[in-house]
Order: sequence, then C-alpha cells, then structure tokens
Amino acid sequence: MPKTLYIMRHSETLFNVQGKTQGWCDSPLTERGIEQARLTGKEFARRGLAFDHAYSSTSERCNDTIELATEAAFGEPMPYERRKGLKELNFGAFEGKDQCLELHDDNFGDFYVPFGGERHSDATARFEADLVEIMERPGHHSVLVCSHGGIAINFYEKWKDHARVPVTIFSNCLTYVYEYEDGVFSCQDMFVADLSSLERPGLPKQVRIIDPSRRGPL
Amino acid sequence: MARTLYLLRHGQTLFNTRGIVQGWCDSPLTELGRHQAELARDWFERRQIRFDHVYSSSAERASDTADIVTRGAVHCVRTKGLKEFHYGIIEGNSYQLVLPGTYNPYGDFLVPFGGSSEDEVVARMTETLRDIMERPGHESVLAVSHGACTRAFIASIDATSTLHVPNRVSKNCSVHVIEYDDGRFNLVERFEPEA
Repeated sequence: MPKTLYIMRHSETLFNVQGKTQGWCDSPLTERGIEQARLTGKEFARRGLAFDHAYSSTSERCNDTIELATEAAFGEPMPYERRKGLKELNFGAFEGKDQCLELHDDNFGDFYVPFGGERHSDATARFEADLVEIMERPGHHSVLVCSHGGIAINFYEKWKDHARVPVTIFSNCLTYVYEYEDGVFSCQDMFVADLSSLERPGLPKQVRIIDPSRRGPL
Repeated sequence: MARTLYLLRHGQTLFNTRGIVQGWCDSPLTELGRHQAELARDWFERRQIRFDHVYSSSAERASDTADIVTRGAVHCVRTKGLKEFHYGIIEGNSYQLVLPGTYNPYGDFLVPFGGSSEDEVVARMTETLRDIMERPGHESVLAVSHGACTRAFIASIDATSTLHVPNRVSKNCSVHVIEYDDGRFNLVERFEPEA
C-alpha cells in the first residue's frame, strides 16, 4: 500500500531576501518567514493532514520551519529527526555569495564541483537514499520532511515521469506530496498556503513562476 | 558539591576563514575545524572526562562540533539559549563592518544594526547555563557555543572566578572549565588547542 511523503521547503530567510546563495550555509528566518511557517502549519490543519513521523535537514532554517509549522498545526511542535542527507546542495565557494553568479541552467550538473561544491547527481542520490531509508521504516505511512528548494526540485525532476502534476511554483514553504511504493516516488500534488497577507510593497517577490518550457537560469 | 560545566567553542568554519560575520548565520566546519574538534575530544579523553549531559547551540556548526567531541555517543540537546550574538543586518557581511576595538565588549554597538546588546547576551547565556546546571544529575556537562557570547559570559563571571582571562574571543574549540555551585560560576581552567 502506498505511503505518503510530504516534502516542504523552509521559510524565507535573510539570505533569500538578500539574494545570497544558501546551500550548506544558513541564515535566520525573517519575520515574514516565521509567519509563513505558521500559516503553512494552519494549512496542514485545514487540510486535515496528520504525520506519524517528521524529519528535517540539519540546517537550522529547516528546523525552525518544521517546529513553527507543526506547532501551528497541532498545538505543539512535533519531535523530528535531523539528517544530513536532507541538506541542500553544497555550493562550495559560492556559499553566501550573490545568487546572480549562479550561471548554470536548471540542472546544476557539475557546475559547483571545481569550486568545492557538490555534483548534482551525488546530491540527488544522497537525498533519495535518505528518503528511501525513511519511507521503508515501519510505521511510516504519512511522513513530513522539511528540506530545501534546489535539492527538492532536483528530486522532482528525477521522478518527473511518475509525477501527476507539473512544477509551476518554487517558493518558500512549498509542499510536495508524493506517494511512495516499492522504491518509486510519484508526485501527486503540490501546494503552498495563502501567503498573500504577508506581501508588503517594495519587498522582492518571493514567488518565482517557472515556465516548464523555458531553458536557462531560474 | 560543585558541578562542572565545560563550555566549548565550535571549530573553524568556512565563514571564519573568509572573515564573514556569522552570528545567527552558519557555515560548515572546515577540515581544520573538524581537526580542532578532535583535539578537544582528545583533551577530554586524556583526562578521562565523561559527560552526563551534552548541550549545544542550535547552530549546525555547534552541533557538528559536539558530535565529533562525543563521537556521537551522547545525545545532544540543542538550544537557542546558547546561540551567538545576533549581528543584525551585518550578518553574512565582512567583519570589517564591525569596528575594531568595539569587540570587547560589544556594548550596544550592534543594536542600531538590529543586533544583540552585550547585556542581553550575558543575561541569556547566564539564564540558559544556570537553568542547565540546576537540573538533577547534571554533574559534568558539555555545552557547545560560540566565540563572542562565550567571551561576554566569561567576562561577566570574572568577579567570582579563580582564573582571570583577557576579555577577548578565544580560539576555535577552546574549552572553558567552569565550576558551578550554589548559583555561582567560577572559571578554573581554560584549554586552547594548538591548531
């Protein structure tokens, strides 16, 4: 019987707003990020979601997001296991630098390797290995994972042929819903809470729309 | 009877090597940083020091350091009470923006940037560490934290300490050995790894 895996991206952080590359480095949630996590938790509750287990990347931005979201959903934060396999891609020398320097197309490929970063395929492999290990554990039928944008979209792309929905948004607290069975991940849905109340004029737009037919940098 | 607190600074990180401010930001331990944590581990093991409880700042560089020092054998409780100063809008920027000479102590220098004041950090560290050391069964405790907040805390306990140290940030993976008795902290020894 298929199990359900929810992969959520962390909330908005200082480096997101400043347009800095953030993989294995970390920065604190903004005030808006904190509210995003809470609204996402309320969205979980509104949808009647329940998770038997929760996991998070070892990055503090994910820990904060999952604690805030599950507290908003269920009244108190769920206990969760932190795992390094769920981290973002390591961007090597680009960590903390301007995002405009990320001159590659959607697939990171080997771009970061000469700079001490991670190979796209290696990162996707260790991410998937962790997810498989998690989903194969007994009693894991509805699992929440908090992770990162780049690695989550790489993972989605890898399993694209089994996906029921196209990727159309790429934003903080976006949640992918996968069915897992016999080593196969099929994306059934993706959603984000209504965060429009958090928009303030003059601040950079947090949602980037991806046209699936477009090549070139995100 | 006095309990012992070992307050350890995390190992060297990527941002440390670049002179980039990381208070509430974080970056991975370098190879040297991991080696420094091993040196601290060796120091504890040579003295046959065992921890009944291990705490760390919620920053990943601190919890990674704790894992190396304890060989992952003791469950590490992460707490925001042991976090570094928040540097406000200077986070992720060059240390050159932090005026030399304002480090010891910071006073209110960081406040206009949206950062922490010295008093606020001292109060937080004191409350966190006192709360930890008052818990039952806490006789030999490892707490992994950060350079500036440790400096501030150690300066604040100077009056009740046997060992007096200059008010400056100590090296990565330095260990402050502190005796706790009846609400009072007493710095008795410090180890700074040579690496």
